[in-house]
Amino acid sequence: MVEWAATVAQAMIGLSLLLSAFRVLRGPTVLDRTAAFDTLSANLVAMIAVEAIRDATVVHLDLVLMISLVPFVFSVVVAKFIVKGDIIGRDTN
Amino acid sequence: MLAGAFLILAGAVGVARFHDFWSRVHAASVPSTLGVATVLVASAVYLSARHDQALWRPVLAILGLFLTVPLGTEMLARAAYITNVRPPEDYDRDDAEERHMEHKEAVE
Repeated sequence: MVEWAATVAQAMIGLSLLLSAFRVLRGPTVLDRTAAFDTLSANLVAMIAVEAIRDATVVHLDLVLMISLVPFVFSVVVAKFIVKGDIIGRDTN
Repeated sequence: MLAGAFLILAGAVGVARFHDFWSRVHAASVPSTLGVATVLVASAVYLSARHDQALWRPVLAILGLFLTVPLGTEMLARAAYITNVRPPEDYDRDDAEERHMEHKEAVE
């Protein structure tokens, strides 16, 4: 039962990973790509969580915690770079 | 778990198919956050029935996602507005325009 549900969920999440990757590769602006990359990494988190349920282990959960926090830094850096043209600016406002 | 996977799929279809930036950035943030949170709740419940220390890591991940994904999306949308990506013409109104103009005059 759990095995079947995990297979179906992984198929759906895998399809959404492909769709997000399509938008990352294609998306007309940098901001489109970055938003799609956020979605991609969130889907990756869900994929790893389903894999942890399937294997009934806890070792995947550290990975879940790390990957859920890192892409935020990426999108903040891209947004700051696009607005200011500089990531660590000299003026702090 | 299945409900979360369906929400994630709906969000990703929106990301791939919507035609302007604003609906895409909405589809990128809202359904996938809720879907991932649902899947993580499922993993927390299922795994903490089997292991002792399985509860706090998915809970922390959900907290982190709920804090960071809206912030990142908001910063991206603000960057898009500042760099002149405007909402399409057939939207009814543009609430951000007036405030953006005030901010621009204050900066200049």
